[in-house]
Amino acid sequence: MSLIKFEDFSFRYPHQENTLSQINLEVGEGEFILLCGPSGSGKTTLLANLKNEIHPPGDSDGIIYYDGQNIRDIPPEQSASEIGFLFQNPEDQMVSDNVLQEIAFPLENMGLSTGEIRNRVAEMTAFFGLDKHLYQNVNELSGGQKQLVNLCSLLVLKPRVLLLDEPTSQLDPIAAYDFLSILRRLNEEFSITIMATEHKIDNMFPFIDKAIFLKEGYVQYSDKPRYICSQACSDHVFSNYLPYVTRINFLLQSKYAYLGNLEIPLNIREGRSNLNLLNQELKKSQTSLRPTITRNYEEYDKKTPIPVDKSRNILLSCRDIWFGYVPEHIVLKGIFMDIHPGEFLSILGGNGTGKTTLLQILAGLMKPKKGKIRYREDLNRGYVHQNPMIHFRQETVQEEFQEVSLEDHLPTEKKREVKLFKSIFKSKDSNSVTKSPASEESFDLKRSFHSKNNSPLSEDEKMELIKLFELSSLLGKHPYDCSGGEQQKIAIVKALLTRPDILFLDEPTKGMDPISKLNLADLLKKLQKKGLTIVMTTHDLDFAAEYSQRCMLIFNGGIQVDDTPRAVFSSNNFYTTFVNRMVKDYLPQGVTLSDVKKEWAV
Amino acid sequence: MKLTIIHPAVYVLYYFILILFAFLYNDPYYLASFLICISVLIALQGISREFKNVIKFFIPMSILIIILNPLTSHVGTTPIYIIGNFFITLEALVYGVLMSLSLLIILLVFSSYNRAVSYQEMFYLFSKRFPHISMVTIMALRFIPLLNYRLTEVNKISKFNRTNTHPEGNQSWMDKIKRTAHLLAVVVSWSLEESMLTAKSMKARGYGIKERTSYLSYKFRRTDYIFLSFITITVLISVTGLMQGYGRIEVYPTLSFNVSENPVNRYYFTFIALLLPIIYLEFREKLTWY
Repeated sequence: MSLIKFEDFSFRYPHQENTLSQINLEVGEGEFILLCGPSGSGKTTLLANLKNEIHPPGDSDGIIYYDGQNIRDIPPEQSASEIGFLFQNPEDQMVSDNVLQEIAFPLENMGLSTGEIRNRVAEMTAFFGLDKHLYQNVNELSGGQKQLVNLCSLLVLKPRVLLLDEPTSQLDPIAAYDFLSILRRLNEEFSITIMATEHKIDNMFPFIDKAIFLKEGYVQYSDKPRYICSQACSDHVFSNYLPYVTRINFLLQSKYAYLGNLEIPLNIREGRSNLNLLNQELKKSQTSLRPTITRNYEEYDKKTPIPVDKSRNILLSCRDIWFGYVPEHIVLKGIFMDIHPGEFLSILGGNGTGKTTLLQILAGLMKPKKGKIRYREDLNRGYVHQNPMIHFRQETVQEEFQEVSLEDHLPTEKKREVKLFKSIFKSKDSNSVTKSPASEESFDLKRSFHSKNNSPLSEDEKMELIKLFELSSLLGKHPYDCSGGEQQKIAIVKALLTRPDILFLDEPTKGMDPISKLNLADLLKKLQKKGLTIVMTTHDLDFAAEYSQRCMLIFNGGIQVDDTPRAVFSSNNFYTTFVNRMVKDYLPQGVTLSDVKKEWAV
Repeated sequence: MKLTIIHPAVYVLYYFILILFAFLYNDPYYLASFLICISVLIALQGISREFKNVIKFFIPMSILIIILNPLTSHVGTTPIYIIGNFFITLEALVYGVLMSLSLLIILLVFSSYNRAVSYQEMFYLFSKRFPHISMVTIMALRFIPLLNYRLTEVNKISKFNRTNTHPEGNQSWMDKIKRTAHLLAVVVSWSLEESMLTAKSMKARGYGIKERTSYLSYKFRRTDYIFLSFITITVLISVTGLMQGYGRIEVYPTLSFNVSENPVNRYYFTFIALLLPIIYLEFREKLTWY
């Protein structure tokens, strides 16, 4: 008998369309299930319905069975202890200020005796090796450690089912990988049923039992990982979710039917062995996977569609930047770099190496402790923080955009002068303003219009921008009600309304599903064509390799590598893209899917 | 102290008595020896940043008291100086000095208490009576650094927006206030939004199903009993001495203090003994490490 069973389950939020329709699922004990789908497809709603305490308010049809019983009927103690729910943001789930209290919190809620509580906490810390962190303040932990503490806090209750809503989306790749290996261990050694939602499934695919692809509330595909690949590879939405290894395999399969005889690869080892077998097969017919003509990538990279103008003035120049938040720990030690117009630069590096710090110093949010930054004259900068919610303070998205063009832009006394001025000269064009003679009245206005080339964007330009980012449907909503990807877009548009010459993005693809990432990449390319320089920090190596022209690796407080993505990744063995890891033997310079497509003509 | 654990209730009682005595005793000799003992205790517990802050805070305040008291209080019979219409009396000056001494001693006692008892032990004592308050305090301690961080980030962004759009603008006073209000609005609404997730997480882990227990447990050990009996005896003797008049001097209306008077008697020694137990324990522990 299955542990969890959805029987014709449909759900809708009040006054809205069905978020989930006709879900029929069975989850056996000890299975590891992965839920995937574009944002808005109902994954979180599905998981939240399994937990009585947080099930969303709304109307539902059909029944969910837990262990044979209707899930709404099970006693609260059972629901709280046997089903554990882990949220996306490691920061928000914590309630106490030290680790021990956090882990003991659920046990205290259950009313267990002090001795029993101490027993369970001791067992948990021994298993996960948290001894040295036990009395630490939670603010001092890294993101991965926080998420681990959250997980421990669930596990002390001895759950049978774990529900995880995008547990690794806010973590860097190393921490994510550690977390997933712990999940795997929990599933294999303790037979805990796990249902997880994720966007980056490359690491998870090899060891799940079943993958479920949701789209607009319906279960589109539901099968074992290997079988689901062949079903989903032709779907234009879900093919983006499949691991890179599988996608490369299918690309090659369209050209070489031989691969159809082999097993579909899910991890890099299987992928590489498939490539080796294919190569052997091709050798029989005198061809090979290795390209006969070694392409000159230097030349190729130089002919990128967006010309980088190195001859013109440098936008930003850093000389010997040093920075630290406290004297005991210096984060940046001597940074020297220049940024040229039209570039798309990505800053990479491990966790805590100072990428966000460097970005904030470049954008001018913080002053370096030592060293100078020089900006080009009249350089307009835009900055989008890691958490887009920090930028919002109005009730609707519409007001957010209006606020930028009016309030922040001109100080209040000058607004009256603008009106007066405009009525006299009857022109909104900034050029005519600067040409007109200055009068005796205070005209710092002229200076403020002339020194920066930023007349507020006209309504038409603004509407065009909103349409480009597909935000027209969101104008009436409160910014907090929008999904993560939409919030990111709103924050970017807000920054763009000030006509920046250079845009600083801090981890723009955090927590985004693959389709939204493609959209964002498209938009950034369009903006780059219009002349915008983009600087971003990211952990997403595949995104950086595909879309940026220059990668910088931060290590030990300084810039270790500063080169094209191809040069950076093809020379690395471990810190490189999935594609590169798979095709290294045959295409040492291949770092993105498009490289693979070009080289092997698929 | 790392090798000896004393029950938090015993600590609370002991320090409470010390504070009480700092108020009650008036004799400069007693206060001076009190001060010395407390300073020794703090030195053994480790001079920390908060201690330095306390001293920095205290010195201007004590000077203020010593100056203000003679100026405001004209009661007293031994004049020293004449300003305007009234005298500066010796009594008022002495009273000011003694008061600031008492204050210093109390501040130091608090500082020492802070080092000896962690807030978790405090919660343990009060959680049975006030379970909700301890939960709220724990959450407050968690959220204050978080809110601080958020405020710093929002401040950075706000400054950035301002310098980017009109760098030469002088901010009028009203503009500054408006800007700060906006900052706080963003932080508050952001924190409220994220705290909904915290609430969900708490509910999901069973908050509110049953009455909460605590994972902390402290037992009474032998040291605690000895400590308690020691305190009881010395306190009783000191209080009898106090009632007989030893340990207090008359300041108003006439100073009746003789510097050469010998304060040493058995009540004085019991008082000193009251101050010594923790010093003794700390000292003994320091010896074991060397």
